[in-house]
Amino acid sequence: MPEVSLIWIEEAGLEGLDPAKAAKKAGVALSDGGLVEAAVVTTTEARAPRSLVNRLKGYPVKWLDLAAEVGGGPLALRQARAAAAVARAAGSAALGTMAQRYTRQPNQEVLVAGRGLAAVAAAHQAAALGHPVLLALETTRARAACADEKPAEVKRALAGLPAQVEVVTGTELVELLGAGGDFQARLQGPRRTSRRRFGAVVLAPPSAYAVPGDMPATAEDITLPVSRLKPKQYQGGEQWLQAAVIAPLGPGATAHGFARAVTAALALQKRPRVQVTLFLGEAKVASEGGERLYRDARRQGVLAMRVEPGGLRVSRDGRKLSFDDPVLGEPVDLRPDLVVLSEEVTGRAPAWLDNPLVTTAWDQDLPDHPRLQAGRTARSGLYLIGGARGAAPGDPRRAQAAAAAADLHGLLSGEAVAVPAVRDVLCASCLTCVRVCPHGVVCYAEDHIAPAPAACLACGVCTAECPAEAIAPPGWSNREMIASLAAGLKAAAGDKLVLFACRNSGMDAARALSLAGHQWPKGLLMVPVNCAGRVGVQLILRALSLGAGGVLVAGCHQGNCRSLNGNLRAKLRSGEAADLLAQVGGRPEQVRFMHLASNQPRALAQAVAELAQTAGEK
Amino acid sequence: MLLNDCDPGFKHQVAAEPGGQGIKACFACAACTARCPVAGHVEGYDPRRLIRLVLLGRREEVLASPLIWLCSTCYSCQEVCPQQVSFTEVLTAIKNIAARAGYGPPATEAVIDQLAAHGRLLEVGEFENQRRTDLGLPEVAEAPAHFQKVLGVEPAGGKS
Repeated sequence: MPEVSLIWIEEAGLEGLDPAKAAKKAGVALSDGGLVEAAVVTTTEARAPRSLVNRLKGYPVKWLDLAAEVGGGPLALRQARAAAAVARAAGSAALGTMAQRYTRQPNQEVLVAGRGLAAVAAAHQAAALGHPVLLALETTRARAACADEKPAEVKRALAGLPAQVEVVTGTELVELLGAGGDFQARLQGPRRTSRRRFGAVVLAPPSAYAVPGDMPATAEDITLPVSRLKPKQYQGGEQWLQAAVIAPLGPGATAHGFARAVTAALALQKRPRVQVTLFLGEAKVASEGGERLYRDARRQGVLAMRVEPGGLRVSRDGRKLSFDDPVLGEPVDLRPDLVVLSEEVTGRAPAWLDNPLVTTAWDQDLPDHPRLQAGRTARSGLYLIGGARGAAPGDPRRAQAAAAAADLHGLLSGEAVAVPAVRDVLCASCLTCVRVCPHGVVCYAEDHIAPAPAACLACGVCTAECPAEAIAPPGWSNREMIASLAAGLKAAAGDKLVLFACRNSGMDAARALSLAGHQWPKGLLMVPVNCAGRVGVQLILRALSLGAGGVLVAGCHQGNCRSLNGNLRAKLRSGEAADLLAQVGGRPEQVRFMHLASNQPRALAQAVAELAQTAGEK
Repeated sequence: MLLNDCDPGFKHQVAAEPGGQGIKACFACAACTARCPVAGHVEGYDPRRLIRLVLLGRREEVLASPLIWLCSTCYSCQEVCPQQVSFTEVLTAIKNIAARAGYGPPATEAVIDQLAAHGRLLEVGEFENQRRTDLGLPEVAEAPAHFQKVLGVEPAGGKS
């Protein structure tokens, strides 16, 4: 066991506390920051002096936000809580392993696969940020443009690629394993298949225009999609020619699709004796020039007809449209001579992306998740951009490609990241970790579990779910956490309570309370976790067996978890632990879970007070 | 209502009439109706609805409507319109078209009938001339022919 030193940094929230007393109670040596074997520092890495951070690099150091854990109240109470927190941190620092042992350098090379402007722009941007890039085009250079793009523009972009972009044509990505920092890709070329490793992968599947599914089905001989409309073919005679242009009506409608529909309506309306009725759900005028285009169309004489979803009905023969006029509220019929259906940009993700081992817990509907912007997918280091994400042709695609390139650059160029350590002797290759990892970090390759080097957020979901205690991000194994719990609970006084708080929400709320002088219960031990998903059944039960009278797990609100669903896992596991308690004759209310946001400190204070009461009842 | 039976040219005709240029820009926000003092007093008077009828091309319905003559020309609608439809001016254009098509405000039509029949707004008969004689005033005669010429109407059953 290494000797642990306590490095005390004075800051707000620690006034009046005696470092020597805290060190003595926790059983550690007080240090001035000199040579140490392992250390507990009483501030966060971000707030600590740079010189100290540099000096401690490479040592097992536990950065402890002591001010947040001490809270307010009488000095004796704060002193007791400080001792417990230092003891807990010392417990894990003593067991802590130096990060380097688990660190692998991420591969810097980037694979961009697919076609179109999005692919070319992503290759260009990644190269500009210093990464070697392989651009694998599915087609020839001449046919690299998607069906909805201008070939000349894509050709120009291709010609302008810098030298460190290697371009291969007629090559498809057919298999992909791994995650951020270490992907293994199988590429099917015209003659042979090759395997290569990459640090990040950007997919830009081909996009096209397609008529959305919510468009009414009208008679074929009078119906055209916007892309096939040639307005000059149409003009009315003695009778006006009645044309119906149908803009996207459903919730998936985009400004781009709307603009294309209005442009078509305007071009038709300019023809002699043609009357256009434009059906729209919402006027999507947010795009550049959209408002002016819509007004120009009306000024030309286009009749705008706003219909509610499902409000546009088609007769059985497909030749009569029925709807309610939005202003008059009267039923109106129209027998159009021409129906023009607008189109939206769509793209199909490659079929192998549906493989659960590639996309982990990623539901295909998830791209709207706030954590999955900038082309990110649930697999860290894998990006899906372009038409597949609904980006309109032109500049929106360039912007999206640039965002993805910037994101992957941050991922690959960040300092070497600790990766989960796998103890192969314990691992039964059950693949639970592969299945549950919300970031796609944990992969199974070459007959063993191989975590990717640049993707781990140390959320600890794998550790909580592993049935064999075989995997953990450095510092977060059950062994280390239980040692730190044991030390902290031993130093705590009175009724002992444990609060597992997510750093993204619960810990912020706790810190706000502490700095406002909140009087925490004397025996409360706060255990910050990177994600509530780290807290499994075993950890909860061990906390109770080590003397805690109550355990509270505070995770983020639903849909807000940085690890997609770590909060829900924590909720599930807390419930399981409570059930187990009930089965053995214990009190299930000793184990609680709560959803919490950083700005809800009062809810946290109330929950802790209730837990203290429960623990006190015995 | 079948949209094919309406007259798509009507809105272009209104827009071509002096004052009517703004009609097609309307996007039916109803700011005009909300502000209109007449709409608050006369049921069925609704500037937005009138504009919509023009845009749909329901020509006869608009021109024959007694409502188009009720505007007080306070210009409130024109002030609040976000699309510069200038409805007060538009309505003037509509009224001009209606008048040329032979429609007029019901009260004015009664006045025209009166002028055409009698050359005056009041019928002058023996009773009136007797009263004038009693008061020492000269008698007057009805001379509608001049008005009939100006108004371009046939005598409507009045004395010739």
